[in-house]
Amino acid sequence: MYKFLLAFFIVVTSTTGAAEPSQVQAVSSLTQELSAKELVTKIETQYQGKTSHGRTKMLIKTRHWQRTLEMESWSEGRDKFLTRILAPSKERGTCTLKVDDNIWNYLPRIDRMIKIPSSLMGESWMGSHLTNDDLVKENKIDQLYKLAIIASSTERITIEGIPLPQAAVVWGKIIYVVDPQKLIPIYIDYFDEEGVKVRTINFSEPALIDQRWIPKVMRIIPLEKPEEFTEMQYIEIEFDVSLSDGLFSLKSLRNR
Amino acid sequence: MNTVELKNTSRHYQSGSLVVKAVDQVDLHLKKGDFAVLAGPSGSGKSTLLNLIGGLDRPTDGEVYIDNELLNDKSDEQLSRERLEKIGFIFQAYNLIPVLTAYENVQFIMQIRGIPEKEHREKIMPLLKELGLEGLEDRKPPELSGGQQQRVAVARAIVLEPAIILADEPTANLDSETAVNLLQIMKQLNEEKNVTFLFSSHDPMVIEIAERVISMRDGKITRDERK
Amino acid sequence: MIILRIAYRNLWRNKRRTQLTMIAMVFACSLLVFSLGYYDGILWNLINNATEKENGHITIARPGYVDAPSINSNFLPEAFFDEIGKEPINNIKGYCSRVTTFALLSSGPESKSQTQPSEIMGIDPVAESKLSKLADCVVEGSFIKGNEREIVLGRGLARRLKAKPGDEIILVSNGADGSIASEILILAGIIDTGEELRDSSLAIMNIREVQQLFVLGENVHSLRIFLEDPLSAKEVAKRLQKRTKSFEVTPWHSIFPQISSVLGIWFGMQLFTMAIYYAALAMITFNTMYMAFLERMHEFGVMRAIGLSRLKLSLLILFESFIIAGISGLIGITIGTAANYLLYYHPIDLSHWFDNLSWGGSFIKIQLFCVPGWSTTMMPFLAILVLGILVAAFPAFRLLRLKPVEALREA
Repeated sequence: MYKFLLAFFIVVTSTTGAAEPSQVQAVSSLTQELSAKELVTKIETQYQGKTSHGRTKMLIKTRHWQRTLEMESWSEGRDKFLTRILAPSKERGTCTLKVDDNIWNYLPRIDRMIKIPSSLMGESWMGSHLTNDDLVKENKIDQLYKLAIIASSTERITIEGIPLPQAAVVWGKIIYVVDPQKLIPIYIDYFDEEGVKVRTINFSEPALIDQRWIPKVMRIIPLEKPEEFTEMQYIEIEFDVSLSDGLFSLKSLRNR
Repeated sequence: MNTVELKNTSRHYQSGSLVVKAVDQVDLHLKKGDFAVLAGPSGSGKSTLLNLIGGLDRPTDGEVYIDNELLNDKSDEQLSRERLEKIGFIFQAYNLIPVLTAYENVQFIMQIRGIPEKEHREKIMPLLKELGLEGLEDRKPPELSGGQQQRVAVARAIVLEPAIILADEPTANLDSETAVNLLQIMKQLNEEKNVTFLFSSHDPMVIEIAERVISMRDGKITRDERK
Repeated sequence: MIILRIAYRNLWRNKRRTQLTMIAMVFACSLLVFSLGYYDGILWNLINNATEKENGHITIARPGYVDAPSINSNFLPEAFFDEIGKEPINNIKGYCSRVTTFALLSSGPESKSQTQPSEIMGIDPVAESKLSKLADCVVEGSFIKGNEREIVLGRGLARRLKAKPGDEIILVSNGADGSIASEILILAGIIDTGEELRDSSLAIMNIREVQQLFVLGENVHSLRIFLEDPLSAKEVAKRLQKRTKSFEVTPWHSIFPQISSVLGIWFGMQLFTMAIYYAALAMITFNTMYMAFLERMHEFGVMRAIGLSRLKLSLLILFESFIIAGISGLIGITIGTAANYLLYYHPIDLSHWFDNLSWGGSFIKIQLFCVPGWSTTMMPFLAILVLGILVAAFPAFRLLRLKPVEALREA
């Protein structure tokens, strides 16, 4: 039950990088010649500014309950990420810090910090349909999977990803569909080791922010419970902001 | 009318290669009210003849009638019924059911006959009194003398008023005084109630009391005389 | 009925023989009732060591909960009791309310704290102390006493968390409404349920605190019913299930299939024991019965001669045997049951001399403990009646074919 919200941020932040509109054009004309890996790496890194700062709403819907969290988050590069719950007030101040492959949670009610051990990376993050693992691995698709373009048109390119032997990935296969014009993902399908599709993440409402396309909404649907989902939505986002030193540290978790 | 009628009746046994003619081509008629004795040495066929008349044994040849009914054709169960209704048996000894009192031994036969319980006492008590067993009705056989036991056996044999009472050496185990006493009681019943008696004996004293003496030897009737 | 009277009186004719026969029968019957009671005692031991520790004999939960527990599959206990109605169900000792959910527990200083997933079980300490043996499993510290923020950990879990009684345990999870639940608890005690796997994840808390922390209100996840007789769980569960549609009633048999599978073998074993005891008994009694029968040939001949039918004569000998068996059986089951009751209320512990046996998620305590039971009493009794008829069957058959003339010749 311990589900977490980090992944979305990573995916979103990583797929919303900094680029000039003119470059967008140029890049998209180049995609035909790019290999699958180069294309994904481009998407994953290009839209990621050096740093970012934003506010997000996360809507979690399950069979039994539905709730909305509002969060503020910061990121630096691919590896540092911090988020803090603003609402509801009961959970205000709850933080998650990711540095490299480590995740800590801070619980203001009891003023304690918990490091998520590697054995629990598959657990839910903050009750959402994302796992801790998603926070860590989601922005490393190009490093974890062997990628190949299996269909291509001017509107969309379909990439198949098979986990590399050494990658500790829970999926058996992913299908990554991107918009080569805007250089944003359209959806990602996740398959288990038996080849059954178990999860889909849809990206929608692209918006041009800071001269880069960003899908403002991401919805994670677990296919074994199709009536459930977690949807994340940007309220605001800015890139390449200056962040205070030591922001991504355990100390800052408690001080916030 | 004959109470008992035997027509050319035989009872042969196969004993190895030997045929034992226990009863051989006997003709016999007993009338109602007869007080007859079968006399003869042991092995002369007296018991076998009594068994044939009583339906305990079946003849190998000839016919047996009781009250003009042919016994030969009857099944074992029918014979059983026949014995219950028409024949009273008195054996040499151990006639009684040891676990029942004198009264109950007499009652036993009424019960298996299905006579209503309430009639038992008024029938049994006078009879026991008549046989000189008053006050002994609650004793069990081991607590009675041999003569008393035989008198209870007589009471049992007579209580349902059968067509005939068959007694196989009833006095053999009694001393002579008791034996005579028993015979006199039987004689009395014969005279007062006109009960037909056929008993076997080789005791001269017993034979003396009988009205009709049927002598047997080697399965055949050698003499049949009325006094 | 005169035949019955004769049969009964005949028993006292040869007192010594009848007494010896009866002693053999009483001995076999009482020993059998005792043995079957002892078998059931072992079985109860096995079942109760598995069920009474924690699971209970019958679980009441929302349909599907037992197979796939979910924090949201909860209910108010009153809802269940309203549904089954007022009519009482026999044999129920009581019930425990339970809440079960998952949480991350951590312990130790923040810089090197240990975090482990665990199954949190919320229990009512008062009800548990009366019914379950959970509190008996505490090996260090104490059980939940009803103080604030107490937690009891399985031995393996405590070891992994490197926690000892008195230590702080941090709990983090999500409540039934998805909200984040967090609490600082104090480790009250460490429990050893005998199952290593379970002890490596089990954490016990006061149900009130779990309900509050996980936003469950007064709701519970299951009611655990405890019975006087664990063997009746299936039947009681069936009766309860008939009265409710919105709840699933699960007897322990489904939860401990391995132990449940023993039941069949057990019954077979009891029958086998009965067969052995009574086979020996039949050999002894047949002998004496047959001797008595042969001695009374003349008497049977007289009875047949004066007009008793074959069938009634056969019945006589059957009745005699039946009465002996019946009286001996009654005495036998009285003695056997008395012994069973005695050892039911005052079991004799033999574990000083023997080690307990572990088996199928449970263990067998070595003790002289018997369970008096209706079937373990009636089975030997009915069987001895059958035996009485069987040993008399051959003499009875011979009486059917008895030739009075031949019988009379026997002195």
